[in-house]
Amino acid sequence: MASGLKDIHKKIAADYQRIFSQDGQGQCEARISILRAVLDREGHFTVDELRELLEQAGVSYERDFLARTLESFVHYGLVWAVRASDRPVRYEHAHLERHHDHVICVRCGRIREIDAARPRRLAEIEQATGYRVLDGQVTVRGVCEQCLAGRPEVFPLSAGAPGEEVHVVRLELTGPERKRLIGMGLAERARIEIISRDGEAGGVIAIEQSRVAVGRTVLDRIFVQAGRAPQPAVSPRAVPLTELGVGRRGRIVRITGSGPIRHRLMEMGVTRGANVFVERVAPLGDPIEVTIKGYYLAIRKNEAAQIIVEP
Amino acid sequence: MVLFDATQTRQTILRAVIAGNPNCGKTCLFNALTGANQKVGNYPGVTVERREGRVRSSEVAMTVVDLPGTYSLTALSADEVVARHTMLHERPAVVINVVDAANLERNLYLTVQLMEMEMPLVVALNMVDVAERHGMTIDVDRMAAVLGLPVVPTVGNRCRGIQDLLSRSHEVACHTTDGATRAVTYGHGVDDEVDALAAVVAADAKLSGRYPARWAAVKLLEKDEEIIRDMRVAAAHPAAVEAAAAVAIQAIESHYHEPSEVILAEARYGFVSGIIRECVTHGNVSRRSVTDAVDAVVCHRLLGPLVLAGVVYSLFVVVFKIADEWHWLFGRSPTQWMQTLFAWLAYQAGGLADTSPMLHSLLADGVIGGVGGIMAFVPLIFVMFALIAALEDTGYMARVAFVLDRALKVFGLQGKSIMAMIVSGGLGGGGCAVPGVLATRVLRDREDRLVTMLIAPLMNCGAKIPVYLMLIGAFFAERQAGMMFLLWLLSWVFALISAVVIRRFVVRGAQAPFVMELPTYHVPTLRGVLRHTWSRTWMFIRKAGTLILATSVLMWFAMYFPRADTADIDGRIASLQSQTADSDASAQADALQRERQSAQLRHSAAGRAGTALETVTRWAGMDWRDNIALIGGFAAKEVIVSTLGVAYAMADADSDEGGTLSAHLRSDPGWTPLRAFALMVFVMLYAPCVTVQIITRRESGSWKWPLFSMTYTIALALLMATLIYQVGGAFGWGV
Repeated sequence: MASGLKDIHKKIAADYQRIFSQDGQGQCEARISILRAVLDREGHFTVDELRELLEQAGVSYERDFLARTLESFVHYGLVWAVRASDRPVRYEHAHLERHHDHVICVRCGRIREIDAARPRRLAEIEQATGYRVLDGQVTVRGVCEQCLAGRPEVFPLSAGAPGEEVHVVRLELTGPERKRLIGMGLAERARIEIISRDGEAGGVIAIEQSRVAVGRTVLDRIFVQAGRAPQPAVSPRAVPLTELGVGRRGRIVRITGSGPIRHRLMEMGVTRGANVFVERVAPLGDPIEVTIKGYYLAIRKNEAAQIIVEP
Repeated sequence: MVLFDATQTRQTILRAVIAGNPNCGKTCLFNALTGANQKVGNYPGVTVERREGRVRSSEVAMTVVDLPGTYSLTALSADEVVARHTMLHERPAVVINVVDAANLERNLYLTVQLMEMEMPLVVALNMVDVAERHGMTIDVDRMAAVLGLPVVPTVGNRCRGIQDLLSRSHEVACHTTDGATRAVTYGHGVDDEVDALAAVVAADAKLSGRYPARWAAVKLLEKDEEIIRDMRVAAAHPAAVEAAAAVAIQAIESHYHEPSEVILAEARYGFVSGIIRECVTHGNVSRRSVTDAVDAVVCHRLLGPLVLAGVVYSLFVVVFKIADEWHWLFGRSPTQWMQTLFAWLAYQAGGLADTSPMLHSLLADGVIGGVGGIMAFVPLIFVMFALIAALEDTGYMARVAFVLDRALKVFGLQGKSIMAMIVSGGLGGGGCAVPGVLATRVLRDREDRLVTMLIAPLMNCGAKIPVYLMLIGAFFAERQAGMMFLLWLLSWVFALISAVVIRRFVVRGAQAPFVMELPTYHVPTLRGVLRHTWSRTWMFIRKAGTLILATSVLMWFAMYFPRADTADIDGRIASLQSQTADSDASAQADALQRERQSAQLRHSAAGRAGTALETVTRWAGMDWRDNIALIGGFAAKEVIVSTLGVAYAMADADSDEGGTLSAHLRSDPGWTPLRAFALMVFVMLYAPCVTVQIITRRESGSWKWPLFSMTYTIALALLMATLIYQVGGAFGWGV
């Protein structure tokens, strides 16, 4: 370890000693020796890993005590904790000047530190909110490249990890189980979030908005793809009706409005699949006149913008 | 399910109902079927017009109800709810669905919904001539076979096919036709859900008799609020039905990823497309129909507004020429005839002057003066309404709304508001706010309608124009046209500003969506135009015959009683008059006469009221006599000129009240052009007349709105008139 760092660590230890005695915490000696061990250790470690380390150095503490001490270190800003659901907490000692974020793989638990752009991010937040930023730690959850490489594009739910969001590609379920899940919204392109896994057994998933506990066989028979389902084939050329242009023809692919406007449009024949031809724009720029289902219709641009057409 | 009782046929008269899109020629067909045997009213509790008539045929005994035009049968607008209710609860023996043949795709959407309702249906394929001209060939027999319904081609405005329609409808009503209506399908998955839900509805003991089961199922799947509400109350097991519906909706929505009502609507259109594919062939006629060609000019960026301005201007000019200037009716113009009539009546009443002066005064000043002055305007109003009706029937008005919508949107109005404004007098050549307020019915959204109703009375209606003419004739004789134009402009400025303020602070709510059909142009029929015109003119005349008459008489009473003690003056007058040789004495006698009249007036009830108001109104330059006239104007603005005439002691009941009154005021030292202008602006703005208030109450559903209308207009009028008079006076303008 560079001497410079050693000095920092001495400083930290001294800080703590002071804080410690101020706060009247017991067992000072023990805690300080744990702190030294923590400061010596670079990188991330769990409670158990630290315990092992200490035993190798010939010191033995109760696991409980270690855990509590580490948490108190977090509280005092001496140690950072990286928490991921159903994985043991990982700690690393904090360098007051050097901050970094983490990305953790939800499948295998590998942690990578990410450093770049941090000060700028924090400065942006400061600017946007007006808050004085003291510190911020971001833990990004993802799937590491190794895990990705090992998994096909369309995989069974059982190969997914808690926290992952996927969409359904194929169902190989049958019988009452299928009916039940379909009733809960399971269908192609439905969104599923894996909430938790009971080891290699089943788990809890959320289908759209409903949570359901399912067994391993079910997880094996639902085939999914990572991420959200792509929007139905709307050609990238699809534009709101207002942008179609006079004299151009288009086919309605989507209507984004809802409620009374959608209803009004529907009863006038503005539905998906209908062909529209833009006749003209009123002299003052609004409304526009279109031909649809064989007759002339005047629509304000405000409403027409909610009709998406494909030229 | 049986929707009508066969025993009815023999005992009672059959009821038929006409349903269809707006602009499909429904009303024309209705008129053709019923002739003059019509009755117009309102559905209880709503401002939706109900037209009912007896079919004029010796063989068929049937009453027909013309339902409001609707694009669909959901429960989202008063029109649709009324149409639906009428069909479900009145159980007509037959529903005549008028379909615009040139517009089949959209019109058949309603037909499909009627089929869902399992109504006994006859399709009147109207405007087949127009369809043919567009190159469409419709195989009527095939369509009837495909739909499983009788289809009768008609041309409503030429009365073609009416007999056929009548006999077919009668057949259906008497249940003498056979053939099953084709069931509506919605696509595989949805059909299953509909069937399943229909079974649940049919199994519910109470619901099964209430609605056709399949229709109720479809409505539940569409989340129709009215049906859901009703089901919760009326079903034997509402929870079960609702749960079944929820499951079905979920199934549909998760499969299609769209709301269920959208899926059903699209399915219906798909069904319609299928029918059209089977029955209609499009010929090779060029797309450039007449409508296209005309619209290319009328809606053009530059030409459009020019055409509009041209139309407005010519309307104005033509109206005046036909009504006033051209002596085409047996040597005189219609207005002149009216004036002559009332002058003659006044002359007849003149005989009473000596025998019973009070009665004479009542007749001459009160009745003939009040009513006569107004009836003289009937020709003008009639011609104006006729031309407006003609424009409406051609379909041009929709283009006006299209062109002006953007401008009107700024003020919180929308394109269709223009109709109501024009009918109320927005073109400057007169009009009436009574049919004007009624014309706001074309506006589907409540907020737009309310705002338009509140500002329509600010237009220069046929009652205000005589006031203007009289005062302009007196004080702005060399600039008459310019002044009329200025007043027209001001009325619009105030109306639009009021619209913004009202929209912002009083009638709040987001701007409603604007989606409007532009019907194809067609030549208006004389009959149609006359019918339209007459109903509106009649409103104006009826107002004259009742309210104006009553007000004139009332005002007369208020100005005549209580009588002052004028014995003193009378004596002096008599003595002066006896000195017949002395011209000076005679002039003095005249002056004393006038003084006597004035004193009499001041002492009367009206005079006292006017004097009391003077404290406020004098800042606007209006004195107690003006106030009397304005009080009368509350009831009907038409009486303002005549009352003013009486108030200024014009003893002769000349129906050309304006002329001599003008002269009188001009020579009156207390009167200045500024004062006249302030008064005109006051009259322009203040309180809509009583009839308009009553109609507003009816159309808006509450007294709150007419009350608001009255208050804000009076406040605005007072403010503006005072401002004009004070500021003008300070700058020395027109004094």
